[in-house]
Amino acid sequence: MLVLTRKTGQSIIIGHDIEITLVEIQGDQVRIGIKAPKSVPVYRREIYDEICRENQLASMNSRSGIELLKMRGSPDSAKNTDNLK
Amino acid sequence: MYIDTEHFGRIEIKEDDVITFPEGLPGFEELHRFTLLNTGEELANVFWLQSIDRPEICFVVTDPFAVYNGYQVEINDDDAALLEITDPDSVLTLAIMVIPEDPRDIRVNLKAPVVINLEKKLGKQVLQQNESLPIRYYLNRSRKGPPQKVKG
Repeated sequence: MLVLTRKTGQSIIIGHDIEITLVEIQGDQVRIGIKAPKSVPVYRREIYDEICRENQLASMNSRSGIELLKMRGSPDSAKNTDNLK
Repeated sequence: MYIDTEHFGRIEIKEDDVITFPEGLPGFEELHRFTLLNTGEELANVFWLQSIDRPEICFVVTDPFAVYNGYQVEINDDDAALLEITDPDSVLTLAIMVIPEDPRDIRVNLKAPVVINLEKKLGKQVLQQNESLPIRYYLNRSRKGPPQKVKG
């Protein structure tokens, strides 16, 4: 991994159109500004990891839970089926 | 083709029923082919996103617009291109559910909905930038206050 030292207000350019600026340092917290084209998704690492974990759990749904869901029906089942064509 | 599924036994899948996820799903990047099943009956608004590549994998999905008032999905240009979206009417948005033993823990992932172009049979789980959308939106818990978060 490339490690660079930056001071508050200084930036790093990645490629032609991504700019990362060190906005503020407070104790062990750093505020980072990111300028990137709309097409470049920017996420906190832990959000992406959490989605992966939640997907893993979703792939292991409990059989009894599913039976229960079948019995109860979905909570707002009557509201809207319009968007399924 | 036929696949032997966990919940539905052996089912036939026609070429037309195959939905391709070019990037897979986060955590399941190697799974590219799914099909959408509807068991009908009393389970309105709940569907099954069944993996064709690994028949033991099946996600329960539901209509996020029905569970969360004012739900909105943003799709950036790159994702719209990947999904070859030209007609917004052919887009189906679904949210993945987690169904544990305890019904109080039943939840919906509103942060990363599955977006499917029904016309082109292309899909992707699209992470939303909107910070207010919860990864775990509990269906059977009190709705007082903002959506709850789970620690750890």
